Amino acid sequence: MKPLLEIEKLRVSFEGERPVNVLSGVSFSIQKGETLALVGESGCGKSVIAHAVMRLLPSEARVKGSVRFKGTELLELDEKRMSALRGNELAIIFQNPSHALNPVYSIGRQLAEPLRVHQKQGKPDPSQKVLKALKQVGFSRPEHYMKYYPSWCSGGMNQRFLIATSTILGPELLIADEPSKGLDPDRIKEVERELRAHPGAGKTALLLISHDLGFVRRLADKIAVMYSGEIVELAEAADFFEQPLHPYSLGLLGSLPENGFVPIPGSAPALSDPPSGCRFHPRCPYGEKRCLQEHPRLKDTKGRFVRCFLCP
Amino acid sequence: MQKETCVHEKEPCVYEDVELQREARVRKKACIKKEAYLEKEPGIPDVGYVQKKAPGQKEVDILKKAPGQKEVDILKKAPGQNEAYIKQRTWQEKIPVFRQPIIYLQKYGKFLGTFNRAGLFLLLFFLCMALLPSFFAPYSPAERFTPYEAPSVSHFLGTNDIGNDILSELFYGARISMMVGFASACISTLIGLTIGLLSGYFRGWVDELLMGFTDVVLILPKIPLIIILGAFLHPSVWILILVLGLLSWESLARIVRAKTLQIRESGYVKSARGMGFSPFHIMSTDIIPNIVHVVLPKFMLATASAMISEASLSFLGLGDTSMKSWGMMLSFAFSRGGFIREMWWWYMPPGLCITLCVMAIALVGFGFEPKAGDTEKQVVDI
Amino acid sequence: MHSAVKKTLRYLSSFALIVTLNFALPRFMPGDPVKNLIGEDVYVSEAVMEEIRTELGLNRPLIEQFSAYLQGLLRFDLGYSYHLHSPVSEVLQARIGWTLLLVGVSVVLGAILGILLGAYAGWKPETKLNRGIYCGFIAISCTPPYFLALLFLGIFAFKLGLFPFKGFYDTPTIGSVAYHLFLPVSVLALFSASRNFLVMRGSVIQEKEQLYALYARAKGLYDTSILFRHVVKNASLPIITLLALDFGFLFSGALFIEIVFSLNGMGTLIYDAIIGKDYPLLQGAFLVIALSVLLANIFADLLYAAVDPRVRRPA
Repeated sequence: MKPLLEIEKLRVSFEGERPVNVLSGVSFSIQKGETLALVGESGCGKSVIAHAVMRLLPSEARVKGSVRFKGTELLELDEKRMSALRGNELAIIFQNPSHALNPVYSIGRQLAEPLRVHQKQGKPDPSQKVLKALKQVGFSRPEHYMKYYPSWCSGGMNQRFLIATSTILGPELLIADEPSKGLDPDRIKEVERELRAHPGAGKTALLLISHDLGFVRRLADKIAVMYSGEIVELAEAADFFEQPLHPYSLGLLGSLPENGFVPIPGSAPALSDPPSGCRFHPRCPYGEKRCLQEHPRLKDTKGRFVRCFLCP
Repeated sequence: MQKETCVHEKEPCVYEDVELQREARVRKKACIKKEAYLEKEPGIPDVGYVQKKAPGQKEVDILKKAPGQKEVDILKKAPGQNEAYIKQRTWQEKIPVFRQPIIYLQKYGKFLGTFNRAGLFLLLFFLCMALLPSFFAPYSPAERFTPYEAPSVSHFLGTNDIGNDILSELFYGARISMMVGFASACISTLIGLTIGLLSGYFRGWVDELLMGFTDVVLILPKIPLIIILGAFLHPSVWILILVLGLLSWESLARIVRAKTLQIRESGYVKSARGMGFSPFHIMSTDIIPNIVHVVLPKFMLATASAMISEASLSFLGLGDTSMKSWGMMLSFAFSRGGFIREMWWWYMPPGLCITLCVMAIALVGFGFEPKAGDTEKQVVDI
Repeated sequence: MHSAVKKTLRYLSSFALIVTLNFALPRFMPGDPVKNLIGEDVYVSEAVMEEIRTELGLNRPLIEQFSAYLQGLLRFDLGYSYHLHSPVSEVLQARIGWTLLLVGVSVVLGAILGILLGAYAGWKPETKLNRGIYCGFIAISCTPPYFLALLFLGIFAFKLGLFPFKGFYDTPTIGSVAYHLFLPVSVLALFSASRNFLVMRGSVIQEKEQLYALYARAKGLYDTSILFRHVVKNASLPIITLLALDFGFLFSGALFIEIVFSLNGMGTLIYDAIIGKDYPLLQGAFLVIALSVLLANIFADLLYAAVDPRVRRPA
C-alpha cells in the first residue's frame, strides 16, 4: 500500500553566522490511519520535522530532501496550493496552546476559521459544526465556551480548543507537537482520549511528537527515536517497548519512573557541533573504538531499523 | 527516489522573492560583519573596551605628546615583555590619530542601517554648524543690506525684510534651535530618569504615587500649556528650555521604571543588596549602566520633539526675539511678507533645516534602539 | 476592579490638576494678577483696576477665590474677554465646533491611513515601496505641523491655485466647507497618519512573529489574510492608546494649521489672544482643550476594554 506521508532524506539547516544542521537525513513514512510517534529529548529536531512537513519553518531555514503527501511533493508546491492543504488535509497542533490561539478573537470564531477558509461555498452552518467539535473534546456547555477568549481559559482548556480547531475538518494527517507538555496526568488522559475520539479519528493518521514515553506507549503504532537530528531507531511500538535495541532507546526506557528513573548520563550534544562518529557515543555505556570514528548507518534488522554498530 | 531537491535553489516560487532578497541581505550583512571582525586586531579584547576608554582622548595624547619617550621605547626595545599590553599599544600607534574616530564610526556603524548612518552624518553636519557658525556664515547675522533681495552671488539665500543675510541667519540659528532641543532634553531626561528609577526601585507606594503623577502629567496637553505659560512669562530661551524640559519626561520615566523593575530582580542587583550597598549606590553603579540603551534613544527623541515645539512656539511669537532660531526665522518669513511675496529662499531653508535636523536626531535615536526583529524573534523550538 | 478605581482616581486628579493650574496661573505668574486676569493691553485707569480687583475678589483669601472660581466653572463661566467684550465661554462656543470638525475628520482619516499602510509596511518591510513609505512618514513626523501646512498652502493654493488660501467666512455649505477644509484636513491627517504608521509598523513586525500568526498559517490562511484576519487587530491595540494621547498633540497641530490657513477656529482665536495678551481667553481655551483631551483618554480606555478581552473577565 502506498504510504500517506513519505519523508525521505529530509535535511534542514538554519542559516546564520554559523549554519546549524538541525536534521541530517531523516526518512520515514506513515500509512493511512496509522500513529507514528517521534520521541527524543528536547532539542533533537522533532518539532522541526513537524514544521518542515507543514512548510512552516522560518525563512532562514534551508530544506532539502523530499516530503511526499499522497504522492504530491510538498516541498515543491507553491505557497497558495500549500495553504489549501494546510488545515484541511494536513493539520498541526502546536505545543504552546495558549500562544497559538489568537488572544483577541473568541474561541467560536477561531474554531470556525478552518471551515470558513476551506469550505468557500455551500457551508451549512459553521456554528453547528463548532458546537459538535467542542462537545467532542469534552465541553458540556459548548455554546457557553464559544464566547470565551483564550486568556480566560486554562492551558488544558486551550489545548482542547486547539485540538478541536485542528481536527474540525477531519484531516488525513494530524501532527501533534508535544500535546502532553506541561499538563498534569489527568489532563494528559483527556488529551489522549480526544486524540482518539476527534471527528476524523480512525482514518486520520497521526504524527505524534513527544518526549513522554508513557503517553506515547498508549497511542502509537510505530515509534521513531530521534537523537541529535537523526533517527536512531524505528520500530513497531509493541516490539520497541518489549525490547529496545539502540542504547539510547534503552536509556530512555530506563529513565521512566516505573523502570527505576535512571537518567542517561551527560546531555544532548549541540546541533551546531555534533560529535564525530556515532553521535551518541559520548553518552553510550557500550561504546567501542569504531563508534568514535565511523558514523553508523540505519540498519534494517528484521523489520526494525537501528543505527548502531553493536546491534546484529 | 534518490533525488535530492534543494528547494530554494531550484524553485524560487516556493518562498517568495522578498524572502530571497532578505536572505541575500542577511548574507551580505554576515559578510560585512566578518570583515569588521577581521579588521580587529587580536590584542584588543572587544569593542566594549574601545568604547569605554574613549581612546581618542588619553591614549592618543600620550602618543602625541611624548612620542619618543617611554611608551615607544618599550614597544621597540622590549617587545617580549607584556604581550597583550604591547599589542594594544601597537594597534593604537598603527592607526593615525585622525582616522580613529572613523574606525569607531565604522564599528558602531555595523549596528546601524543606512538611514541611521545618514542621520549620523547629517547630525554631525548640523552640530558643526551650531558650534562654529562664524566659520561658515559669510556675514554677521546683525549686518544689514538691502532688504528683500533675491538670491545672488553675494547673498546665496537673499536677504530678509530688514536686510539681514538669510544664509548667515541660518547658520547662527542652528545653535539656538539645537541648544533648546538638547538642553530641554537634558532636563527631561534627568527628571524622567530619577522618577523612573525611584519608582522602579522602591516599588510599593512610591511607585503608585510617582506613576500616578506621571499618568496625570501625561494627559496634560503640552503645547497649549506651553502657549499659556509662554504668554504669561515674557519670552526667553531659558524659560522655553525649562518649560519644555519640565513637561516632557513622562514616557522616559515609564520606560526606565519598567526596565528598573526588571533589572532589580537580576542576580547582581540582588547580591549587591545582600551585601548592604545603599540604594543610591546600586542605582548608580548597577542599574543606570544597564538602562543607558533605553535612555539614549528616548533622549534623542526628546531632543527632536523639543526642537519641533520650539519651532512651533516661535511661530506663534512666543520665542525669544533676541535669539533668532530657525522657528523664529520661519515665523518672520510668514508674518513679514516672505510668504506672500513667494520668497521661497526665505521660508524654505529654515523649515528644511528643522525637518532635516530633527530627522537626523530621530534616526540616530532609532539606531540606538535594539532591533525589534532580532530580539523578539521566536525561533521554532527544536 | 482595582485598576478601574485607580484609573478613575487618576482621571480625577488630572481634572483637579487642570482646573487648579488654570486657577493658579494668573494669580502666581509674575505681574499684577488683575493685569493677568483681564489681559495686558487693555487700558484701564487705576480706579477701574481697583474696581475690577474687588469684583474678581482678588483681595479675598485664596480659598474663597478658588471656591468662587469653581462655582463659576459649574455655571460655564470662564471669565470675560475684555478684548472681545464678551464672555469667554460664548467666544469659545462659536469657534470650537470648527476645530473639532477639523481634528475629528483628520483623526479618523489618519487612523485609517496609518493603520492600513503601517500594516502593509510591517508585513513586508523589505519591499522598495514600503521602505519608501516608511521614509516619507518619518520625514512627515519630523516636520513641524505648520511648516508642512505652509508648504501645502504654497504649492496647492498659491502655485497651482487648486484650493483657497483663506478660511471660510462666507455662509458655510457642505461643499464650501469641504473645499476650504480639504488642505487643512490633509495636512493634519498626514500628521496623525505618520504617528500611527510608525507605531503600527513596529507593532506588526513584532506581532507577525507570534505563534498565533504561525497557527493561522497552519490553518490554511494565505499571506495577507493572516495579516488582516489575525495580526491587524492585535497590532492595532497600541494605536488606541496612542490616538488618545495624540489627541492633545493633534489639537495643538490643528491650532497651527488653522493659523496658516486662516480658518476661524480656536487656533486663530488663540493666535489673536497671544498677540493681544488676552489672558482670560487663553486660559479658557486651555481649559477646554485640556478637558477634551481628558475626555478622549477616558473614551480610549473604555474602547480598549471593549476591544481587548484580556482586560475583561467572562460574564
